[in-house]
Amino acid sequence: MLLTTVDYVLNWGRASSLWYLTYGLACCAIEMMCAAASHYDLDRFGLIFRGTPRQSDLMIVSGTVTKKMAPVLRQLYDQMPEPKYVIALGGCACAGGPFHDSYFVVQGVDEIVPVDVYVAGCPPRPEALIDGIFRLQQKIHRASIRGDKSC
Amino acid sequence: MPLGNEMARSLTPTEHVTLNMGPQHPSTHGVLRLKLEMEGEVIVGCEPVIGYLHRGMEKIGESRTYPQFLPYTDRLDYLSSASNNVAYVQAVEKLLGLEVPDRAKYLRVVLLELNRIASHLVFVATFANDLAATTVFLYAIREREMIMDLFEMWAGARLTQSWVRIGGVAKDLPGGFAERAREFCRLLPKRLDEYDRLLTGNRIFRVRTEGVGILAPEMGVDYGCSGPTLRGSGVAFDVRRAEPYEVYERLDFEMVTHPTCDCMGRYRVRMEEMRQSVRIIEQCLAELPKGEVLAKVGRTVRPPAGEAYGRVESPRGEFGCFVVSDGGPQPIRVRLRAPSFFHLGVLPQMLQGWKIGDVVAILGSIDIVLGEVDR
Amino acid sequence: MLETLQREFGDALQAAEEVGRELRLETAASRLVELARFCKDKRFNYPADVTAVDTGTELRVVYRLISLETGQHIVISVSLPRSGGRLPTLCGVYRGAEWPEREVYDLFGVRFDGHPDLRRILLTDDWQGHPLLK
Repeated sequence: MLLTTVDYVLNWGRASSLWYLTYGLACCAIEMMCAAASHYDLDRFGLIFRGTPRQSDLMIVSGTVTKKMAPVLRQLYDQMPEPKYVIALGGCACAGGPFHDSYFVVQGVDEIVPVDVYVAGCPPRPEALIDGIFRLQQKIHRASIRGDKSC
Repeated sequence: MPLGNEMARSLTPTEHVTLNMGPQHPSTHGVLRLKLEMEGEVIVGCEPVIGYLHRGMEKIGESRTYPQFLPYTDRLDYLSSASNNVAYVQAVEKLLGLEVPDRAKYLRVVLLELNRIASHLVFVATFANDLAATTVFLYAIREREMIMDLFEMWAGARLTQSWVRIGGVAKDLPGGFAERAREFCRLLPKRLDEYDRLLTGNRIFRVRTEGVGILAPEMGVDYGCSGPTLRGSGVAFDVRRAEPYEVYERLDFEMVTHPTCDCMGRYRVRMEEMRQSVRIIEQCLAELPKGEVLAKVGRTVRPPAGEAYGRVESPRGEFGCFVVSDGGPQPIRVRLRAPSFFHLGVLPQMLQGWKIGDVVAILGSIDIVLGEVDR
Repeated sequence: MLETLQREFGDALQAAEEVGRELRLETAASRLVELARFCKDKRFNYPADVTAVDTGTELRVVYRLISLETGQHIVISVSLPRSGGRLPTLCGVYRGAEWPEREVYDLFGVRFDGHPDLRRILLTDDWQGHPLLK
């Protein structure tokens, strides 16, 4: 009983104020910017843009990950403190997108970091990103300090 | 300083510090890495490192058919995707010797100019945001959302419309588009006045941009700069006037230049260009002729062997597309000449001698997009 | 302009034709810098582009110089073997040639003699090969 309340409070805290590191790489970064700005406003969900990985819990990988950028991405992911989550925004981050036969593109960011939510689209609408964030929040709510994650 | 400069310097040995403005940085407008060599706060050297978004577009162009490559061009300068599209199809249409219907040309111009306004609004938003005027960021994105709505109404997509086709545009304007576009054109100049009140007269903004980041006109030309970056140094070069394409020779608009060669000059050029774009759109909507919007193009596009260069005035400058064909269904070379690539080449010269706080203003004022730098 | 070029460079121009706005010239590596400098003196001062085309049999490095006053283009092509090609740099004539020449080196493997900083620009420093070759 006590543990589920603790779970609930912890999860509520984590999900309601996901501070994100905008890993804006390409076109999807513009949609992420639009989602964060007027009209769609991510701030009302508790999401604030932080420029440094040390203060963020969510990394929104928006855009194509290239082989040159991959080590940087991994380094930034490692610099984020736990608990941390990753949203792969857009076709390129999910699975390489239209650059499936490129010599320099990593076929999906999940080759480098574990991804929690995939948002498909090229680029996905801001509403799609917001939907992805809701799914992430649902996922966080399902987590438990006992460690038996149902997701 | 309490001690004289000379004395202080002789007592405290200093050395250059290398500061990395990494590929992930809120103000680098993408994945750009700047290795800054500094003496104290003054920049003595800068090395831009690019390639973090190199997706191999030019190689991909060789393994796609001509129509298949079109959506890839959107993703280059993703803030104004129609400019890239038009440069590419211009090159292909030159190879094919294809004549585009008049109505399609006017529609392309409407699309191009709406893209120009959208891109310049992002410039104003991010430039102001970088200089800590976050309010203007939100206002400019609010206006841009209206353009996104127009694009969505017409092409179904907000950012990467891919609405241009080899031979014209995909489909005609939907009903109600012209009224909404005109309404937007009526609204935008008033909003631009608002930004002027917030920014252009703002003392802090002026101190941070006036006289900062000088680009001498001869250096700009020698480095292959174009667009507002060059026009902000007083050079009257605009591809829409130098080599008019679509229907620009029939339209009445001003080529905007500013003589000051600094960040403020480049900013003012873009602000005024938005007003000129509104003029162009209103003219196009008024003069829109009837007719087809797409020329007859065969199922397979096989241009005869040859090469052609399509040139467009994108919001960043001269965007060129050099296509080489050998008569087959796929090009043997697609070269994408990106203005931001050349502007980054001159950036080290522009940053010399300025302080670290000015880097953001200067980099923002040349308005680069890494998608087209790295391709 | 075409006549002037043919007069000055006659034998050095392997081909010279006017196609629309473009003056398409072909020359050898040894006369390249001289030709470029001549064009710049004739007010073709805007280096629009430096790129290369791999036609399968040879490598063609293409320079596009534009006159901002007349709007005319001069397109200079130099043919090279597909590997081991070397060209003199145009950095001394147009500073804007520095970065595109680095890109041509990076993607095609053409070495530019006299270039102030010839190294890879887009790909990682340890990349093997030159991807845009067929």
